[in-house]
Amino acid sequence: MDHFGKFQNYSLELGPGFNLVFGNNEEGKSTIMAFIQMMFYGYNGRSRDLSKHLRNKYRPWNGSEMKGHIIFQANEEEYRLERTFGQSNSTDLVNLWNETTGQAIRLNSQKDVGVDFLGLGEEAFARSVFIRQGGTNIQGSSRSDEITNRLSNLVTTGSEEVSYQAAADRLEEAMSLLVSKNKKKGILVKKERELALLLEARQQALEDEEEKLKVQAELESMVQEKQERDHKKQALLEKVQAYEELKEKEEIKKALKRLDDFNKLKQELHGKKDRLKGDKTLVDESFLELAKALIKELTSLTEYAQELDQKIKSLLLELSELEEKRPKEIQAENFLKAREGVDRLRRIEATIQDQTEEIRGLENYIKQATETKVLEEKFEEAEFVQREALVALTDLQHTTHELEEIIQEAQTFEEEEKNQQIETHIKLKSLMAEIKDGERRLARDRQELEQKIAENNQELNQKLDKDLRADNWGKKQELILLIALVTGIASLILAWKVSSFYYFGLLLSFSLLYPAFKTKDVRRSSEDYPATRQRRGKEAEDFIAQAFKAIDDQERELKTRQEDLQDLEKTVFEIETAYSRRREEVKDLKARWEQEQELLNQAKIEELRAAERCRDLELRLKQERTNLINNEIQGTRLDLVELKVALSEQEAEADKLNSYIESLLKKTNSKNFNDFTDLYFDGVAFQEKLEKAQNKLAQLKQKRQEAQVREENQRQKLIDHMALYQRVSTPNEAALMIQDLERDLNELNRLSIQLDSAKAHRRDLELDYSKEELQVQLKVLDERIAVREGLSDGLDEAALKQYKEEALSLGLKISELDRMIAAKSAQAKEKYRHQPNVSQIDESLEALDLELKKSRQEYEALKLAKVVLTEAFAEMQRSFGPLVNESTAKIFKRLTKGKYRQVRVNRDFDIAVEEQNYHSLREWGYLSGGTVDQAYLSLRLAIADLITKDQEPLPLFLDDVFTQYDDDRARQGLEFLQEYATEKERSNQVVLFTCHNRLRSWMDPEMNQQGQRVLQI
Amino acid sequence: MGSELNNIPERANQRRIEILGTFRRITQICTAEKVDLLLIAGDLFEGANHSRDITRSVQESLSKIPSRVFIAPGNHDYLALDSPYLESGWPAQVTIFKTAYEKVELADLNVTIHGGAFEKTFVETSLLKQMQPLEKDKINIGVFHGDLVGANQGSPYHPIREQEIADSGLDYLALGHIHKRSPVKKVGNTTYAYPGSPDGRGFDETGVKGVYVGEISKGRADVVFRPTSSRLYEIVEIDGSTIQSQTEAEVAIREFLKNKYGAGWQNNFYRVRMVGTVEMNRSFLWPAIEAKLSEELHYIRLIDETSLALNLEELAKENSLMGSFVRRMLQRREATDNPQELTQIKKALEYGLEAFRGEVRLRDY
Repeated sequence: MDHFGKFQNYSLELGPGFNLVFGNNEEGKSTIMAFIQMMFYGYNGRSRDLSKHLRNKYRPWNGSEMKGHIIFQANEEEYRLERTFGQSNSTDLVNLWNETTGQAIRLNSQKDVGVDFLGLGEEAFARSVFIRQGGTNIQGSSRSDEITNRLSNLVTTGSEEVSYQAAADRLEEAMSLLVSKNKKKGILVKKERELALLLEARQQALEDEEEKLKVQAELESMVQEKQERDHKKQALLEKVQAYEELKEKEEIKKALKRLDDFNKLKQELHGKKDRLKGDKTLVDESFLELAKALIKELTSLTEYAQELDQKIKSLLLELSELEEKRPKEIQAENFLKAREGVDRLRRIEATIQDQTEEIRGLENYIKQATETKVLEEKFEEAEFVQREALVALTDLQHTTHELEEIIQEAQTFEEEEKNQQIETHIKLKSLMAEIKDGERRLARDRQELEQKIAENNQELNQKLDKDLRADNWGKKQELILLIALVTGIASLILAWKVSSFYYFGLLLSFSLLYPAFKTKDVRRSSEDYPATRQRRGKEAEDFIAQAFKAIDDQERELKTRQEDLQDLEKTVFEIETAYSRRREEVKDLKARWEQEQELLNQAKIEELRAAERCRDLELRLKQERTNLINNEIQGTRLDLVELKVALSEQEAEADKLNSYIESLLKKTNSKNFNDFTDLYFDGVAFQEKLEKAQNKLAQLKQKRQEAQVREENQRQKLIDHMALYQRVSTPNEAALMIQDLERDLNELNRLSIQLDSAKAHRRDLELDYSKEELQVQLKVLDERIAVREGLSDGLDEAALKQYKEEALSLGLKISELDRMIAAKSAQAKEKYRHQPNVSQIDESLEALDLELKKSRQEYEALKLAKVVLTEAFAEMQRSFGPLVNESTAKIFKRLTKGKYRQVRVNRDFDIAVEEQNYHSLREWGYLSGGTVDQAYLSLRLAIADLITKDQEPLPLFLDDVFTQYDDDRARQGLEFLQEYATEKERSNQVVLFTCHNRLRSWMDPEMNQQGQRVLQI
Repeated sequence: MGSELNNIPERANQRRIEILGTFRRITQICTAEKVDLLLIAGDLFEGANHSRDITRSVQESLSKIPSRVFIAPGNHDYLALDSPYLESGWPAQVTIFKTAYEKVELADLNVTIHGGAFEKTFVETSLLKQMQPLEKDKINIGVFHGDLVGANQGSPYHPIREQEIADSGLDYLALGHIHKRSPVKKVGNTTYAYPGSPDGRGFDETGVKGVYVGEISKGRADVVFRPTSSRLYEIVEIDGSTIQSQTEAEVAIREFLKNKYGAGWQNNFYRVRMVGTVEMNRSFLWPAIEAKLSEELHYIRLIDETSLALNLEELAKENSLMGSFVRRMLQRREATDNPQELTQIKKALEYGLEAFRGEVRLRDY
């Protein structure tokens, strides 16, 4: 060790046989063991615990590089292994030299040195040939440890590398990949399932195919039906076509005729138009209209002139007739004067009438005013009478009211007195009853008292006698007290229950109490009998006296009551007297009130009558006054005289006028003024008429002249207008020409309308095609008709319609069939669209079948492998187990110097041993710790032997394995190891580290020569 | 066309497109070489449940060629109401036989085409027998889907016997059904052949695939094979006995494939069976090698069929569990001569030894 832990440049040479390396604690035994292990295997631990992290634990304390080398022999060649420790195995510098040949050896892995030379992994090394302190006990080690597995494999399969369980598990795992344990998963299961699904799908596909064929057949039959209907429809259409072609031919013919007619009309129209063409214009409606209007106006002017001539003639005639009828003439001045006189006369007559009326009215007014005054006087009188009656009535009402108040008061008193009377009666009755009760009780009390007095006296005497005899008065006193109490209580109860009168009983009770208490004194002085007797007698007398006094009081009280009763009776009498008096008084008052009431009623009636009269008079007066005021005519008697004078003056003037008018009437032979007036106005009217006729005649003559001028102008206009077409000389000539032209124009219009109509009635045929084209069409049609000849024979429009309908109906049916075919086909297509067919499925089936076959073969092969493995394992259990046991037993026997002859190890490494003298196995639990350690050491040595059986023996390193052993066992162990290391047939290098001197002392001093050495660290 | 191609799901989509491309390539041959007649003897489509885009693509490709096309529907694409052949859009020059037997006269070529359709999956009688007497001065060509069987054999897929072919009087009989190409044969005066599928669809259709192209005259047919496959499906076996490491294995496989398939070797689908023996303590991570090779190959799958290099007889002598296991297996092997059992025992022995070694590998296929 160049630098390793505490060691520097330290070397230790081990011999080939048994080596005991001795060193005290802390001297470095464990460090040397760690060095050996780390030289071969390095160290890759990552523990943070320094004591467990070997690389850090043994890093030199002085900070030098951790480094060392080992020289060892293998396969009879010597090797030198050098290692400079870095931070990890990968940074360690490792060199290996073959010292025999001097060649450096290339290493695959720095860690593999141990594996390569020792044939063991690090873990296996540490647990098999590298036995640490306490390391013989492997029972507690983890099953997952490599060594445990290896031991397990070794014990069960004969090979450390081969584990039955692992192999069986792997086969099982592979099988479960194909078929899981619950047979629900796995490649094979999945494929089987796929197969089932495919077979199902195949069946479905077959059924689908059948169905498809069926649907196809149905579709075909539908198509056939459709075709049949189609043929039928075509045949019908052929016939229809033939008929329609014939019709079309007719149409074309008609169109050609229409075309000819149209052209003819057009030519005629042109001819007419030429005729209407004049010198300066083309005659049209407006030209003719104007011409006609001119003629018409000329004619009317001529007629007008003739009419005027006629009128003049008749007016002249009328004038001459008028002259013959001229009336008698009255001068306008005379007429006016006469009319004025008449008017004046009428006004005077009216005035006379008015004045007469006025006089009559004034007279009436004066009479009415006098009557009103009389009425006013009557009214004043009536008012006075009414006022008087009202005063009398008020007085009476006052009196009656006072009387009512008095009666009211008297009745209130009467009521009070009545109540008082009733109250007093009740009191009287109660007092009388009380007095009666008091008397009765008084009589009873007196009787009882007398009896008690008698008893008392007797008792007193007896008591006195007793007191005398026994000088014992105490009881008497108690008895009196008892009586007093009884009396008192009885009085209280009676007073409360029956009458307050019984309170008097208390007096008796109190009077008894006194002597009861008084007896004490008596008893005190009872020794003096005569004095006592005297006192007692006096006491009894007092008692009686008091009792009588109480009765007297009662009697007095009763008497007072009786006196009260008498007073009360007196009061009652007084009340009753007053009451009857009062009743009388009330009665009188009521009679008086009734009288007053009657007077009052009469006064009321009178007052009412006076008031009524007053009202009537007032009403009449008011009316009279109103009438008076309303009267238009008001005036005095003086006015009346004046009026009568004026009237006579008027009458004189009237007479004068009458005589003047009479003279005028006479002159004109008029009967009256009306005739006179008529005559005057007739003359006036005649004059006016004459003037009017003369004026009219003048006007007519004027008009006649004007008309003549206008007629001439008009004639000229006409001739000028006609000259635009052709010159004429007279209106008559013009009229004839106009007639001709009008006829021509009408003709032209007619033709034009005809042409328009023909134009309008042109059809598509002649509009779309020219005559030539139509003629070609006609020709083509003729050819086609020739082909279909006979098809339309006997056809008419009705049949055609029927054929068309049939064809249409067939067409609909065909469409329906088409739709049905399309729907059915689409439906079927959609149904199978995503379905694989039988061939596709068969292809998949074929592939799956192949895979399944292979999977099944795999599964069967795995199953077979598993079966054979199990058989082999059973064989191993039978054969190899004993081998380990045998070897262990052999070592154990040697280790224990034959104490135990048999040891058995089971698969769990539990140990059972058989002692020499007993023939049964004992489980390890029953053994001592030392024995168990021995047994395990035996097992480990046996296994190490078996592991290295076919190779070079490995060195065995042991660190104080006998620590737990007693001296005998330790010695036996040491001897065994010595023997084990030096066996002739198979010698092992054994290195035992110890700190126990006993082992060193047991070593033979000569042992170095015998392949054994003791080394001191 | 229209196959799901789920055997290699990750490549299925691409492969479907490639197969459509292959069909287009065939039509391009027709155009380039002015082919008169394109005969398709059925199973052009895998079924009727494919996308209609595929049908349209086929129709489009056919519409561009100058050739007249005759299609005889087979058991996969039999003529039912949901057939793609009843879809609209088929070009005018395409004739699809719709009944068991039909013939089409091609006066300009002096040719009569005889053909028939499968109207359901199974056709168990001969359609050839339905042919009318042929006009002998014309070139008679037959297009039928069917299964060529021995004289006494039957088939649910239109059994055709050589004698029937010889008796047919046809000058050429274009056959379809078998995916593997047959050589061009002649019986009587009739030449006939199965061209097989024109492109592979899986490892059951290995090798170069294509069509027959040639000239047919009266009593004579000179047709040659024309490869059309876009990629090959290949199953190869490589002995891994001498391979020592992963890298070595990778190199060995690559070199093997490169040498065997030359240019374009990377484009194929490979299934490589690794056979031979390997040492007990040596194992290969085949999936890792496979992943590495997949980087440069279109598709490769390695199947480890190697066995352990063990001297079974020596092993049988060992006094250990393994020794006992081998001993017992060998005893069983000797006790039987049933080949099936022998195979099973061989496998079981391998599995057992693998279980001892550390891993039981289920065989891939």
